[in-house]
Amino acid sequence: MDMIYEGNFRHWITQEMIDYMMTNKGRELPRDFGETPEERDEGFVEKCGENCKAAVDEAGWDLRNVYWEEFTEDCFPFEVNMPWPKDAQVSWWFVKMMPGHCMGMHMDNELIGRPGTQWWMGITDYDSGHLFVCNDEILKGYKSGDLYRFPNMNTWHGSANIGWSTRIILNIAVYYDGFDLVSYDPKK
Amino acid sequence: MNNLIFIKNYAEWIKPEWVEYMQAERGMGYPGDKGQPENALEEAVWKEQTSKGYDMSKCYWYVFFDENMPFEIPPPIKFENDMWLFNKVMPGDVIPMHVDQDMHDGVTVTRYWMALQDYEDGHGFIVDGELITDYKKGDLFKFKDPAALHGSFNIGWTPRFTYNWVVFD
Repeated sequence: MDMIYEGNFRHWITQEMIDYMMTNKGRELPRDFGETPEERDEGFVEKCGENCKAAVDEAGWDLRNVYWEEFTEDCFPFEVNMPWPKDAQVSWWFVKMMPGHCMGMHMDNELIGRPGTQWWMGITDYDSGHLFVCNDEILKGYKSGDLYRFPNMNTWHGSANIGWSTRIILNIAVYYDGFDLVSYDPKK
Repeated sequence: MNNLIFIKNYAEWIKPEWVEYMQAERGMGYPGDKGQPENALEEAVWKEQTSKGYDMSKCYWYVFFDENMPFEIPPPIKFENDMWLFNKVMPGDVIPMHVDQDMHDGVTVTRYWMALQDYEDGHGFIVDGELITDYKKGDLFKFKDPAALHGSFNIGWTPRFTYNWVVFD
C-alpha cells in the first residue's frame, strides 16, 4: 500500500455532516450523470476520461446502475472548511457506498497531469468488507478522520463495499504543487 | 498468503470450453434468481443481508454447477463426498462477505478455491481481511479455516471465474 498516513483529522468533519450523509442519498452514479444514454456517457467521460469510458464499455459496466453515491458542493448543505489557502484551487467529494456498491479501478480524471496533491480520508471507521484497493493492497483498520496522502495524482485505485454497513470516505485534491494540507496554518 | 494454503497448480485440468461456455451463458444469478431462501438457515442469512442493505431480488454474481453446465466435470482430485461450483463475477459484481453454511456437527469440511485465470487488477478475493493477489490460473488453494469470513468483488475489466470446491469427511 503506497498511501501515506498523515494523522487523524476527525475535527475537520462534524457529526452533523456524517449524519446527513448517512440519512440522505447523494448523487447516484453513474446513473445520475444524465437522463439519456448520451448525457450519462458525457458525464462519465468528464469524470473519468475517454480511455476509462472505453474500457468500461468494453468490460460491460452498466452506466444505468448505481455503483456509488457522491456528495459535492452542489448537493451538500454544509461548508467544508479545511486548512487550505483561500485562493487555492481545491476539489473535494465525499463517496458513500452502500453494501453491494463498488467503484472500478480508475485514476481521477480531473487530477491527471495537474500539479498538486490528493488525499483520502475515512469518514466511517473501517469495517469488514469495506475495501479501498491501491497497488494490489487494501487499506484496513483506519478510523474516522484518518487522512492518507496519495503517492501522486495518477494513482490507480478502486473500491468496494461487500460488508454490512455504509462506507463513507472523503477525497481532497489541492492544486498547489508541494502544498501540505497537514502543516499549513491559515492564520500565518 | 496467511489464510490460504497452496496445494498445486491444476491449469491443465481447466478446459477452455468450460470458460467459453460461462462467458457466453448467463448462469444462475445470486441471490435474485433463487427467488426465495431454501431453508431456515438461508432465510436467516437473507433477512440479515436485507437488513444491511442488500437487495435479495438482485443478482450480484452468477453461478454454474452440475445442473447448468453441459459438461462432465470431475474434480481435480477424487473424493467420495464433495460439492463444487463455478462463480462468475462480472465487472461491477460482488459476492458479499459470508461464512459458508455447509458445516455440520460430525462432518469435517475442507474448502478449496481455484482461480480459472491469472490474477488481474481489480479481481478481488478477501479471506479474513486479506486480499488474495499472487495467484496463477489453476492454482488450487485450501482454506486454513473452512469457517473463514470471505467475499469477492470485480472492479476490473474482465469477468472473473473461480472454482469453489468443498470436500466433506
